[in-house]
Amino acid sequence: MKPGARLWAFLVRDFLQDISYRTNFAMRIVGVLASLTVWYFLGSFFARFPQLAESLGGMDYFSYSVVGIAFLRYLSAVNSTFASKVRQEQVAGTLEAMLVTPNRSSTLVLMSSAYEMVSSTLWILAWLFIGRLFGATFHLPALLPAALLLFVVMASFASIGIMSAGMVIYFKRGDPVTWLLASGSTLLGGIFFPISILPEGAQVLARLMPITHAVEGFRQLIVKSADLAAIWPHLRYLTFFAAILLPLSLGLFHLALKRARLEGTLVQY
Amino acid sequence: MTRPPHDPAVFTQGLSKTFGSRRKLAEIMRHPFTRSERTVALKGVDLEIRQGEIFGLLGPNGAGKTTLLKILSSLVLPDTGQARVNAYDIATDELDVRRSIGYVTSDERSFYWRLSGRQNLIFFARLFHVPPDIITGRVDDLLGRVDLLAKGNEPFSAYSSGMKQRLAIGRALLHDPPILFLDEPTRSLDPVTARHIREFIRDRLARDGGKTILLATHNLHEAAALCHRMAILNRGQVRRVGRLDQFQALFAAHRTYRIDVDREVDLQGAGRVVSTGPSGEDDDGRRQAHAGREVRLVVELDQDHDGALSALVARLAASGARVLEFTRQEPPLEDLFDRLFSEGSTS
Repeated sequence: MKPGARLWAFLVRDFLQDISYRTNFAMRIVGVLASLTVWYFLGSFFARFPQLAESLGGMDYFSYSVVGIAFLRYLSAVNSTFASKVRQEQVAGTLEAMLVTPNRSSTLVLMSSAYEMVSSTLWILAWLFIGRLFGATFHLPALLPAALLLFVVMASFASIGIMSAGMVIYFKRGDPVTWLLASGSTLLGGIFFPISILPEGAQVLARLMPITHAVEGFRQLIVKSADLAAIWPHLRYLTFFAAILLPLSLGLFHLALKRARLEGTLVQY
Repeated sequence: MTRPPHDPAVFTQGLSKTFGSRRKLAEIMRHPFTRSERTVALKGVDLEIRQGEIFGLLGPNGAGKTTLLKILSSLVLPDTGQARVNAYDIATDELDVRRSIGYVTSDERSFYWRLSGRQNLIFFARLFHVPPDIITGRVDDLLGRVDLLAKGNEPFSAYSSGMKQRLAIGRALLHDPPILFLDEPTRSLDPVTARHIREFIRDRLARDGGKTILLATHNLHEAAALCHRMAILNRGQVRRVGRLDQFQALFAAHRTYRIDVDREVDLQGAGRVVSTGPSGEDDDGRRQAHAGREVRLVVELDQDHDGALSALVARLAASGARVLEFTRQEPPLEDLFDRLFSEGSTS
């Protein structure tokens, strides 16, 4: 059977489970509106200080922070989805039932996260769209650079997520990778303030983090209508990051699976 | 894959598995060179299960039954030894092994509780590579075979324990595998539902479906009712393999008879009289009509003494007593398996 049919099975399964929580969608929309309202008023307050726009590269603070928060959430969702799906299936007792089907274990874990990846992407688009309705100065980006950037952002974020799923499989604990990355990204990723105000050492660290490039690239694309050439340094770094980390994280994930099969702890939690 | 009919469905040789316990970081720091505690789960397991038979894996809790099933399902890798399922090596052909088996556990949690029984089966059918155009028909057929067609659209969370177990059997049949591994399939079921499940296994899966079934259980009566042959597993080792009657013969150094007569009779010399007393209840616990007025004798005869029974009957006839009942008593299964389980357990 083609992989598409199995991928479809996971998408349908998770969609059906998602809609079975009837108030979930409404609650998330309310959460988005409440959060954007706070940032809208914060942006209005900061608009009283014109010199601020200069240090934000000519952007207003509301638009700046809405893009930053969008990708911080995206990073968090994509990073945690692999590990949390493995954990969910272990706790729910369904992992063993999946693992006795004739599919590679890694394929099953990766496909398990497909719905969350699609759903997170749609929620980020919804966040940006509603942010635009609140008055953020967003422009429709050129399709090719936006698609390329989104692809490498997903690959970079997913590579960290796959590594953390391997940790959950082997150590049976919440993984420190996601926690460190979430904390580090909030502080150093240029989400709420430009990294230029950080100490020099911290700026170096910030430039190594994929979220810094993801956020900056998308700010250029949708706030400043930049073209492919303008986002090229970010695109290049993220491609390099994914090219190194994705095979490495897949290798570590396979190693964790093999160790867990050898130790008989694959379905334990 | 077509296999010669005499190829074993499952074959293991020298299969061993030891689990080590995880050590906490503080413990590792305190005693860095101490090895973690090891538990032997399986030790040199050799088995050959024929095509089409119901084979029981019988043993007390912790005997290694589930570990063996997980190794045969390729969920756990063995430390040493080899195993083939449907002629596929579990270490190198894991996907072919999984195509060949259906695995049923007694764990009710192995389904998605917010989805219906039908939605659950459709999901797993796709994972079992059932062609999309026949999934609906296959799922409906299986729901019908496990008597859940009318309840197929209800959420799994609303199912009773028996329905959940039947759905688990249905899932194991989605890809029509030749071999089924059943791990305590009737655990936590009420006696009536358990009997229905046992009948389903025996009649529809084994007899009509021709499936090879490996049944792990500690329910002695279930094993006796279902299995053609069984292996006695204890502390990770196979102690015996054979049919129930072979096991019974193994320990039957003597035959036991219960005789109800209308007066005291001296049978010393014709057999070993184990007990003498008033008769009262029959085997089902019902009070007999002649209770209290007759005498019940329990007599053991040597198994290998051919003329012992004739001598006993002759002695009874000569005594002039009226024989009201004369019954051969089989030792309780619990006693038999207790002896089988304790064989070598001190080693």
